[in-house]
Amino acid sequence: MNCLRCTQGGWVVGVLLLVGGLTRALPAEADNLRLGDFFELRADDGDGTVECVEHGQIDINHTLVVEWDEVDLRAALSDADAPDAPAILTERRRLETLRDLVAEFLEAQAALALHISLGAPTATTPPEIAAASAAFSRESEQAINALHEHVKSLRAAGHATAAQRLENAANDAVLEDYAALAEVMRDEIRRLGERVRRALETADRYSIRMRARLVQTTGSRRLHLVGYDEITPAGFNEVPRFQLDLNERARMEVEAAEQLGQVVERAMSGELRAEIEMALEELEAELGSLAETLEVDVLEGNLESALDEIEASGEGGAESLIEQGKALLDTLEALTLDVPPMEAENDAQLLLAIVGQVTSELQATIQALRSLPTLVAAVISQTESTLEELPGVLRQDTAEALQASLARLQEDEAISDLIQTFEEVRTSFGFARDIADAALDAAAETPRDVLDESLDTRLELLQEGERNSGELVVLEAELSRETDDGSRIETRALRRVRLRQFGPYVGPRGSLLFTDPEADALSDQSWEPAPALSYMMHWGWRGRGHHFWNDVLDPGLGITFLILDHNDEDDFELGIAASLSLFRSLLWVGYGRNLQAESDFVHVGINPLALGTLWRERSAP
Amino acid sequence: MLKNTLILPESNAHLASQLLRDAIESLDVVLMLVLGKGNDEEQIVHFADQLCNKTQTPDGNLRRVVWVRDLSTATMQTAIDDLTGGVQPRPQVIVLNFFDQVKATLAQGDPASPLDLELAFLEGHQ
Repeated sequence: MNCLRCTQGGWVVGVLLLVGGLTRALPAEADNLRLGDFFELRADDGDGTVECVEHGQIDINHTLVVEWDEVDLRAALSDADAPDAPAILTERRRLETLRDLVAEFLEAQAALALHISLGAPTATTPPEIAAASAAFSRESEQAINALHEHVKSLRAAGHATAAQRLENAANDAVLEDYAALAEVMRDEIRRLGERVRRALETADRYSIRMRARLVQTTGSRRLHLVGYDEITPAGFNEVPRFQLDLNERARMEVEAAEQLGQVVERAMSGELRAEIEMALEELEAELGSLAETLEVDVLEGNLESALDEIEASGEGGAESLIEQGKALLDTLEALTLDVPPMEAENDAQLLLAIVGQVTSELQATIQALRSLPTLVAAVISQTESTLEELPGVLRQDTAEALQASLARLQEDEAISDLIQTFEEVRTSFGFARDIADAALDAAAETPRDVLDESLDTRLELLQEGERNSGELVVLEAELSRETDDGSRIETRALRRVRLRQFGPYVGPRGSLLFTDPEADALSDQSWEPAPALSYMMHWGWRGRGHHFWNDVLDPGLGITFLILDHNDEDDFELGIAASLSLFRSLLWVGYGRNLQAESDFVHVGINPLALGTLWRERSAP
Repeated sequence: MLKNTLILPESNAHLASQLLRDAIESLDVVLMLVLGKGNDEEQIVHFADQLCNKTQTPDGNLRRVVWVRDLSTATMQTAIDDLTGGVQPRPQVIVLNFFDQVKATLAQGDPASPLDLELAFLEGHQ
């Protein structure tokens, strides 16, 4: 696969990502429960200030905090699952009402108390006092009425003792002061919450998984969410406002520009087509060996034999095994790939055809690989149960052969090697790390039980290595239900937050520039490609209404250095130019000077990896 | 001890009427009138008096209670009917807001727990 690796460079990446690219479509959120309503995103600046994330962006050096409303979530989950669901539903509503009203009641009380404590001049102005007390009385009335209704509901539900106890406590408290009354209400809220919790404990269990990714120019990578995964962060990496060191992104952009420049030259000379066709054959050979590595033929044979014997026996009770066995067979079939030869008139068309076909095949294979361990485990478990319940349903040699084949697939090493192979393939096409991420997804996640004390988590951006303004953090939350039949995903929620450096900042970027010398004597060197390194200043605006500037146009102004070859008489030519970048450093224009040839030039250019970033963000879930 | 309650004299109807008018017209408070005498009314007065303590200002409480123990005289009946518009039977509890408007009433036999009285007071704050 080496020939399809970075030798094709950024141009291939750009074309591939224009016409194909992997998409990860997630199912829509369940209509009856919107998981995203149960958590909020906040930004912690590290100095004690924690504020809501505004306008979908966060300072690049802050910490992203996820705050869950566990009580609401538990209560919402109890609606459909608890044995006494109708009563739980009613109690949940009362809990929500009481909780909201207590908060408003106390706020209004505090406002009134503040108002009347301001001093004599205010206290002797009845209209002002009247207005403040009117506001307070409305909130208080609602709270107390809600409490009354709750007491009545308790009596109606047959909890006369609890109703009387609560009523007595409330009557005693109100004679004392409002804080005492609020405490009674809070105690009742806690009691209701405990009741909902106990109802959940007898019902199916739920768990929450969360993942975070950073979508960058160089690819998409996992980020560490405290309590949700085992990836340990390394180092402390504050992004400086004026960054002059060549960071990883700029280094890769220059490298991609160099490779792309070579590709452009080879395409012009006709060498590219032959290389692509050879690479395609290698890809088919690599992917075709998947089945052989997994001994899929053997397993398919054993599984089909077992299913035939079960069906022939006429025994009922093995339907689950038959169903899961067929699902496994379907998945195994999806592991084989077949990329037919493609005809194209020119290299660009060939590339487009390759991307379209191979990308979709890769997607199907990746999904099959990811689902394989779960399916195999299910079939193994079901086989054991079936053999126990229906001892004579399979011949002993058939059962032993099947179990041995299934055990073979459970060897993680074989699957991990395959995933690594796909990673190399995808890297060759410019998809960085997504396959390894798929393996990490399966291995590294730690689900949190909804009954845990807190589902909250943090994303410490300072510890997440290199990151750049404009990159996207994609946060995914997933609610699963654990039943006797296994785990099932109920619903998902996504949040996207853009990293931002606010105000002015400077950083290095790479690009491929096409230069046109002004001097007539050098006119035959028009629009020669040359990789370039620039130091560009950008400005990140805070607040609403700057999305177009920050995330679309993102203009940069700076200085560019590049090695030129305008004049054959000079062995070395250094060009320095003033450059303007647009559309998140995708397009470049500028004017400069070839110091050795003593000639001015204009340049236009692209950043091939920036195109990849745009596509990757669009494809990100 | 009733710290926030004015008990109108039973022996002098004219004085009682005068004191009632003064209480209504001159005090910038939410006023709760408790009508009648008996164990229930006494309990209501005690509850209401305690409920007044939650609205203290530097110049005193925003709430007051007036206990009209004797409603047998025409003078007192007229004074009450002027407030309620002559509604019969007369309520047991009447709450006036800062602007001397009747905002809540509790009839004989209505629940009069501390929470019910607090709700009545709160309506008087509006």
